[in-house]
Amino acid sequence: MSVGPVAAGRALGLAGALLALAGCADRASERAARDLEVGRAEVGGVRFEVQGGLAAVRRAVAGEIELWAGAPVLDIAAQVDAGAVRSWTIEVRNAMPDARLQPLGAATGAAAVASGAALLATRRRFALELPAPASVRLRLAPEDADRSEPFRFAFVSDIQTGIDRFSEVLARIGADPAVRFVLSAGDLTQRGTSEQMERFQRELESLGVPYFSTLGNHDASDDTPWHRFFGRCSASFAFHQVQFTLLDTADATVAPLAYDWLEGWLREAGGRPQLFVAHVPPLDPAGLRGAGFGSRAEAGKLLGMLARGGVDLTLYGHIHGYYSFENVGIPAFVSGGGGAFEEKLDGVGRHFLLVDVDPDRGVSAVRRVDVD
Amino acid sequence: MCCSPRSGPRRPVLLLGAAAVLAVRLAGAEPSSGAPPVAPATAAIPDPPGGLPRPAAAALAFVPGLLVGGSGHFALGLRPTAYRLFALQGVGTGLILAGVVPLVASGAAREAAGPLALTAISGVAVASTGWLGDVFGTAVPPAARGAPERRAPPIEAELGYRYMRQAAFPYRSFAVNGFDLRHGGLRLQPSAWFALGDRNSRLRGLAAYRYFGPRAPPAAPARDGSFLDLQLALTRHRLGSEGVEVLTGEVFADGRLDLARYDAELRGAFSQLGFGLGLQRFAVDDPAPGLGSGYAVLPLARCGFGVYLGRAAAPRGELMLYYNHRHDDYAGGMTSPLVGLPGHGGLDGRLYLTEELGVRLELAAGAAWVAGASLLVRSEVEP
Repeated sequence: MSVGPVAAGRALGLAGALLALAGCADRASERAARDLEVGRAEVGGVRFEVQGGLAAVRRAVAGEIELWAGAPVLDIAAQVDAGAVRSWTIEVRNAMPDARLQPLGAATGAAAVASGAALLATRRRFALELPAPASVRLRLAPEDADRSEPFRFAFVSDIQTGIDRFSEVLARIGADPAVRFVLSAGDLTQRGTSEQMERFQRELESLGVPYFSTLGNHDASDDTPWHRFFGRCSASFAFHQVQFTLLDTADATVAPLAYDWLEGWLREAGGRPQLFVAHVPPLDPAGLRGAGFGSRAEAGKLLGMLARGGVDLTLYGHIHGYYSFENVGIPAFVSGGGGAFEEKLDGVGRHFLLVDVDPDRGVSAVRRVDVD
Repeated sequence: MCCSPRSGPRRPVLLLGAAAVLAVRLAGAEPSSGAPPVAPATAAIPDPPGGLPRPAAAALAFVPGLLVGGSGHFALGLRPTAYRLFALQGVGTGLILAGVVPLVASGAAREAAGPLALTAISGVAVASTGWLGDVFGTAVPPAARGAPERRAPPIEAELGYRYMRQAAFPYRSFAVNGFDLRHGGLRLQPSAWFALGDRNSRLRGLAAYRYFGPRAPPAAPARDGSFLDLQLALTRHRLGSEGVEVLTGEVFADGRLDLARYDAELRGAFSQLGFGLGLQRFAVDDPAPGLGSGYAVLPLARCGFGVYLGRAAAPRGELMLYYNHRHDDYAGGMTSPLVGLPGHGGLDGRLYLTEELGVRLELAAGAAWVAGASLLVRSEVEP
């Protein structure tokens, strides 16, 4: 019996290539592992840690620390050694414009905080005197952060090559004084380079409110600098008694570690309204296109978690258009109108969403605002 | 046989599968008539004069054959075949461009993305047939090539093991079994995958009709390995640990062209292409009030290039390199860096070591990679 040895050998070679393709780099897991390091710095005898990793440490030298906020409220723990530097300047970029830095609780020492000049609406500087040795807790938050009151946020994703005109989108968002912050499902850049992330953050300086985002597939370059610029890829925070979860789905899959986090966040939300943000939707609302998760089984897994967790609203990007639909009964929106090459034939150009949330009633309105 | 809460129906079904394999083996254990299968005799065919040696021609089939279809056969001195392969590659490339260019230009518009993607997949099938046909036809001498079985067995059973690795799911091992029951052009194919040590199972029932091609008795032997099937299937995928069930109904048209019909020099190889559509229902266990179920459309497409195994006088099986666009099986669609759009690729080989006993080797890479082997048992294939 002849099998064709040459053909068989080539088949084995192809088999090896297929194995290599499937088994190489689990980038989602690598990013999740790096999420664990976000928000920590040890310098000048002080160990700083932003709870939940909700801020990226942009710069840390003795006496100065600069953070990029990834949430409206930051809880910062500082473990001060004897002999540590005691006078500090904390600069927080992407902060809520009305946020105040306050010491918390009856720790082993009280820190004295003085607000410095507001460099920008979202760039705040504080002077801090730390006792030593001491365990100090600080909170950066607007005064109304924990109140159960209705509020509004904006949602815009997929800027990419539209960065040169993104200021127009930001100006439209900024024209609404009710918007407290902007959420995004990512694809802020085209290639995920440091230069492009720096450029994006410069564009945000024209926006008077902060911009909190997970990353998209275009941001997720190999060894992406996302963590250094924006912080965690997956995170969860509360504002006005509403729980927000941003999950990294940039590779059309979710890291096992991120699933563990999601399970905890959904459980901790309790009866609060919950909003979920991710870049790639589990299921493409245009089914024949198939621009959702690589595995429909995994899509079912994620949707099952969200449905059992009682999520009230899911917001996605990745698809450069606008869709309003449902996944296993959960209201869902795709809004990729930040300026990237847009989906044609649908009559929708650049746009963003305005979302009104009432902690007592859930999501009260989702409205599309066309920029073009 | 009892069903424990942990094993569910897996254990009795596996035992049933093993019993069926044994039953088929016993049912088929009649003395062979000794008559060889009806197949054209393969005489040693000398290579055409003036051409390059086969190894050199095969190398040219790879490069520049990847870009200039038929380069290998041209070097071998088989110009008519070379021109036909070049035409295949040209048509395929045209279809790929006809799909991809408007897909990109439209920003993957929802109305057009599905048909355009399927156009591109068709192009991949045609173009790859041109290239791989050139490689096969130059690398494998005619005397060493296999031939198709021109009749299908009435009964075939499979029992095997698959290993799956996907980061999102903790389970790895699966028991696989299935049956093929044929009568003429009709076919029923129940199959099942059961995760070992987890409550994950995928049960599938397929019914098909073969309009032409190798069919089971009482149908006459087919002309060659070409066929056209219309398939209806219902799949129940239970993700027990994740508390989700997915029910998929689908219709699929699958066709194979024995390349000997296209050009006699390509005898021993085949090209396959199929399209379909599925509708999925996702149902969640214990959802929050008002939530829990929804529907999704599933595009289906599959293409492949394969070779027959065995000798012309004793066909034994086939080996196929394929691309499958479906995202709902265990392999799923490729993720990073292709972000879930494509499906998965793989190798699927069946080889019968005797008239009744064979093995199947399978390898697939997508969101997961899946590899494994099965024991195959069939009733005797009448010539």
